[in-house]
Amino acid sequence: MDYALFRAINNLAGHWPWLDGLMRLLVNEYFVPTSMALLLVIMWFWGRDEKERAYYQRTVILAALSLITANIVLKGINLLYFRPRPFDTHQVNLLFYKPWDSSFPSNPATTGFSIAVAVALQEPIWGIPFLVLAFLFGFSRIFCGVHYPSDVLAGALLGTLTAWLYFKFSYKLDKPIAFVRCWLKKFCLA
Amino acid sequence: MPPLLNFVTPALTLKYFSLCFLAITGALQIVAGKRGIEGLSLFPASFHFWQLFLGLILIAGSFALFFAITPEVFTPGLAGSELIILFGCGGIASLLFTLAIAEVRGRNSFSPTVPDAEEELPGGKVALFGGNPGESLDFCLIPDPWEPFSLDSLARRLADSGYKAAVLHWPSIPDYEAALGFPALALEKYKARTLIGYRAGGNIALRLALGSGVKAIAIAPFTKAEEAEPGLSWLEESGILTAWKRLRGRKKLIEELLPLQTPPDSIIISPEQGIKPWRMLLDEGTIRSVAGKILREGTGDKGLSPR
Repeated sequence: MDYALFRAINNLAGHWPWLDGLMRLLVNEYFVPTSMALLLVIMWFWGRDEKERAYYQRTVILAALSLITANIVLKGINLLYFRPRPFDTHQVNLLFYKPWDSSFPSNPATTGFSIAVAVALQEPIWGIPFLVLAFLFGFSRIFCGVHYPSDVLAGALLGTLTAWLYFKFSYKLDKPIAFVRCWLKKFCLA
Repeated sequence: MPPLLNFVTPALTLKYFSLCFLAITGALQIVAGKRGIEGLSLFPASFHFWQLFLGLILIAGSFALFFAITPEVFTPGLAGSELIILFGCGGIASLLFTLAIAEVRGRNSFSPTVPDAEEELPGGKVALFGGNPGESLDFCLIPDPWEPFSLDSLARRLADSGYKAAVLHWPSIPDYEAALGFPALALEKYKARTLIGYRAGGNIALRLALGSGVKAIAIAPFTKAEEAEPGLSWLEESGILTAWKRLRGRKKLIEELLPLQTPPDSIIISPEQGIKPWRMLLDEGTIRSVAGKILREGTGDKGLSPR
């Protein structure tokens, strides 16, 4: 079923140049992560008053922690289990270079969802653009032939789980977050 | 053992750093324009539309340029940790650049309003607008000691409306005794009918009005000591170096001036009412709204006419 779904999505590649171009824009390591990071920068400064700023900045810090933690877990999984890429074992429509690391779980999906879900759980309206970017990031990896759907799903689940754990136990981080903000406030940056 | 970080090629590193620098500068312009943060603005406060426009252009342009000149995006390139480091460096560089430009721009845009006359008193200088030394005044204006010229433009406006006004200037940041002593002396000499104070000056005006029976108008006085603590809101008023300078010793004086005691005849104009008095140097619209409110509420119902 995983391969069938991969085929269905990957077979869309090569038919419409505009769609290929869009997916090639989304699939690389630069566009989506940089866009998400920019949104986090805007969110950091967005609050109208101290209360709103504290809330948004807490969200940004939790998203960053979620990203770091999810990536550490991902590296651990990569050390324990290696899955070949789709292009290693099948004929695929490849629109991207051939990554050499493990296909499972998808690193871009983990990265995207660990940030997007962390933001969406705290601030659903802000979460929408993040979730859209994370979804497109994952989808484009299948479309361009570098991940199976199950890789992306596992990455999304790993990112979501990490973000949810930070959301659930965020009260335990109140003091460190307050410390970071207090330190940045001295420089008028929080 | 492979290196911990692999920046692939210097050209790719430089291109991605430039993308981050330009895009983050654009993002900062969007928030500065949207939230009115002077200390992050590359343009004066009245150019908010252009700030938003510039912000969007910088973000879209930097992405377009990066993808146009970087064919390496479709070959093995920078990984997560390298991207995070370069984004952080680009962010720091962009922040330093923006803060520096905003600081220089803020200083250059400052042009003090020239008073009609000045008089030295023990503890400070009285800048007179529409009056002469020794004459009784309609308004005595007490600025925040950290922003000594913040009420000069308002005083000029009052003088243009036919009132006699004076602004009190301390020679340096005062301690508690000097903060109250010099205005009390000026009030005794000039017999002002109404005191107008801004921020810490508002607290001082309310204190003086308690003992003297003079009417006080306090613009955004401090209601809690935490308001004097550093934070992003300080960049709404000025560049970062100016903000740091202003913050020195501030909390102690504010704590001494609290709790806020409100004389029965006083008027408190809080920033929550939509007025940002610190824009009085920068924004003609706010000068009109603050001066209009003061003239209406400070003179209207009591029939205060120019002397």
